[in-house]
Amino acid sequence: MELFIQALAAGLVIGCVYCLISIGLTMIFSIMRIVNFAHGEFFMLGGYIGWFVVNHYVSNYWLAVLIAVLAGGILGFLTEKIYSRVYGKNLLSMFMISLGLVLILQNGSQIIFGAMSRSLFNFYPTVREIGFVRINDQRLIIVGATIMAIAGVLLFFKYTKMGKAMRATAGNRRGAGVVGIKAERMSMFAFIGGIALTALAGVLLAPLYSLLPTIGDRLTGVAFTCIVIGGIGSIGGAAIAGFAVGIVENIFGTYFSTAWAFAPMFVLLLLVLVVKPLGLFGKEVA
Amino acid sequence: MGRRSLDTNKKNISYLAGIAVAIILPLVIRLTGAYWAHILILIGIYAILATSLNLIMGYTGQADLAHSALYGVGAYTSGIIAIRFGINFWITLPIAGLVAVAIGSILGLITLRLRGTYFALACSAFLFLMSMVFTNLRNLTGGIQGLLFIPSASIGGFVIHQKDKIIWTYIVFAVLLLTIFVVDRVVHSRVGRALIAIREDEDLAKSTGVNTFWYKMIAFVVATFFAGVSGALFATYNGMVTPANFDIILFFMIVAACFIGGLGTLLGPVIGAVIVVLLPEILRVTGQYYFVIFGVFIIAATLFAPDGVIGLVTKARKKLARRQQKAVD
Amino acid sequence: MKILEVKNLTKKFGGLVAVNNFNLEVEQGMLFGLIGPNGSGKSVFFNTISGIYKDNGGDIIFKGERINNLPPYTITKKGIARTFQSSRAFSEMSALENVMLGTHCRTSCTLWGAISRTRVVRKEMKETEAKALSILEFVGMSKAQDTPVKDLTHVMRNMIGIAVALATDPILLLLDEPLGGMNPNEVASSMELIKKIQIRGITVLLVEHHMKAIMGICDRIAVIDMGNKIAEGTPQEVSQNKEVIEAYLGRGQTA
Repeated sequence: MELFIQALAAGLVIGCVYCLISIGLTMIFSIMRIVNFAHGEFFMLGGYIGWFVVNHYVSNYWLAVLIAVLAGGILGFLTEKIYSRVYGKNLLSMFMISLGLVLILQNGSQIIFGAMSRSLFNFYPTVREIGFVRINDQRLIIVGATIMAIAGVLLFFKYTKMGKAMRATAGNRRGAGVVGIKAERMSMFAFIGGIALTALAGVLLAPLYSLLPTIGDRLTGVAFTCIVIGGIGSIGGAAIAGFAVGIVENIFGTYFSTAWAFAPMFVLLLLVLVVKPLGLFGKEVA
Repeated sequence: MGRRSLDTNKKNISYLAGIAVAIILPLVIRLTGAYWAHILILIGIYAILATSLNLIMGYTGQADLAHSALYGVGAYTSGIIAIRFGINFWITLPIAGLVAVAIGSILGLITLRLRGTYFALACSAFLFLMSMVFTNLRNLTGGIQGLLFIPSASIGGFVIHQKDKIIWTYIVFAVLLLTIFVVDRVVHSRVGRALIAIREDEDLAKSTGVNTFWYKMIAFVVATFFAGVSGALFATYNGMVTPANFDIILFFMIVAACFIGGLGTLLGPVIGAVIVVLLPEILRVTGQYYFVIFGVFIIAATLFAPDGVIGLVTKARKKLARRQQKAVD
Repeated sequence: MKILEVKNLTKKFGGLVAVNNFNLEVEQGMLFGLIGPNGSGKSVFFNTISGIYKDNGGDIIFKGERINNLPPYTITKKGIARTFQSSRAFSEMSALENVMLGTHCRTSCTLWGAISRTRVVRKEMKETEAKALSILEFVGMSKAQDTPVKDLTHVMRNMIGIAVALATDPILLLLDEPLGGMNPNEVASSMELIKKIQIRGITVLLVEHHMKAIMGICDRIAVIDMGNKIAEGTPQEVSQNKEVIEAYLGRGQTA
């Protein structure tokens, strides 16, 4: 029983990370309809930038987090510039650009940061006992940051003018344009916000795992699985799916073999696509 | 009808030229040493993969992200039945193709009702699942180490080793010519017209009387057969297969080959395969920067030459024709 | 004989009722017109008959057979062809290839035939091309046969759309605003074409905005407004119907 709750808790923490990445991807996908297969690379970069700041400038985790998020925003800006040139063209053009980005970002990171694994120093290693669970502070930080981020995002989309404009563009791009909402600006902000969130996820998780240039691949898969299961266009759905995938993956990996840990996720993805392609909370968008 | 028979003549000449090249080229290359002969064989295998993928992606317009998984299925199938049952290469080759078709058909049945992005995502899920299968079903596939000591092909008593580059090149080229021939025949028929219509406007195709699901399946069957066959070629030539041979990088290379050469053309994938295999060799001097440069190259190609090499050539030809026309006027 | 009987057909989108308990009967060989203000449900009606939309009630009976909710390609194979507004066609293919695609559901060469090219297959390919050429001539588009459709004008693409529909050997042809964007000369020749189609024995159900055209050639007209049929009869009867006039003029809607 204790093992189960421990696995559940660890899964929840991973789920937080997945949740952030998925929300980031949802923002980009629902507004721009861009399939960014390079999404996981920004997670990897967030981690590396955080590591770089701590190792080469100031040994302050929070500064590293801030810089990683800012860098994410800048990267989002630049990436949007590239993607916007193929907006509306076929899926394959988008895919080729993702491919190019993966190659550049992954191998660029390998050149800049080296192929050996790196570790971002864990500033908050103190382990606490909460109920049956032993959990270190960094993990608690992840959970806390995620809750704040989700709350922030939901409030942003529900109550701010910009947020409502973005939702309008996601629902009906042309219609939004008719009422004066510039789709290009919305895409820009979607990318900046989405990539920044992903970079945040990367720098949050970095103290707990090793950094390698290749860690992004799997996370791209996770992100897409989550947005499909949760429903394209639904931020809440992406969030819930993120938690669900994290928990299932961890429990499956703990009780069965870790080699097959990711299998249920893909099987679930296929099932959802076949049975209810719109996902659990998805809305059909124009 | 005069117009049509001119096209047929042009086509026959092209095939003869292709066969001539296929016969002479390996001999010439072999003179330069075993390394470039090996590259030529690799180009051939990639060309088969790209040509078959092009049928689904270029002509039918579906983003099939699972193709290299079926290549892997063919490779492992031929390796496994050769090792376990001692079946010779000439039989494992078509069997590999058929097994790939079987698995590809199951995938198709599940996913071909999905549109666009959803289809792409489902295929990529399949790709990841298959690579997990290759890595984890250790008893069958040899796990991470892979299948080793796959028996070489042989005719009568004569064994064709990996070092018999010229013979292997001829085998690969023969299969490549067959692939191009089949794809050509399919594309320029009623079936091909249906596929292109699906690519251009699937809903309109449905309203015009095309059972789009069925025809997408047909494209799948043809493409996966050749993917499986090329897998068998690779497995037997290489003597071993590991899961790393079928990773996402390989898939990227094949898609890039289709795209750079020219989607929806017959020769595009072949040209693309040549570029995609040769580029690392040419850029070898740049060392670890190679992949970054390749990435930039792909993005540039997407933005500035979305119709690939063939597209550029066609555009240039049209410009030339227009200039000649102006000169005449 | 009644080619098409529509009984109490309803189509909703969420809460919006686009077609409401619609009834229609089209006799064989007739040229039947369907008119109505913008947004009255004409295209939705066509889409529901041709299988693109699923209905929410009612019967669609074609030659005595109920064809509700069959997939579009089955309905086409059974003999109902249609054109689309906004001159939809297969852009990269030539005009001739577009029309040849129209013959798809009447030909049978499959994968093995395509690869092996037996004499039967080659004969079918020749016949397909000949038939497509003759249909292109019928609609007056022979000159454009090798031009990629994306390079044709909007009006020419409409003609190709009609040619493609004719290539499916239809018994009933649904024309969705074929006269869109045409100048008076083009309208006149198109009306002649539609008459020629009727003479060939094909029943035509025509949706149009162009009042003179519809009144000029149709045997019978139905009027739809907000999803409901508000009138039906000969052109003479309909043009004098008070509700129809109100629907088009009275409530500030334009034809």
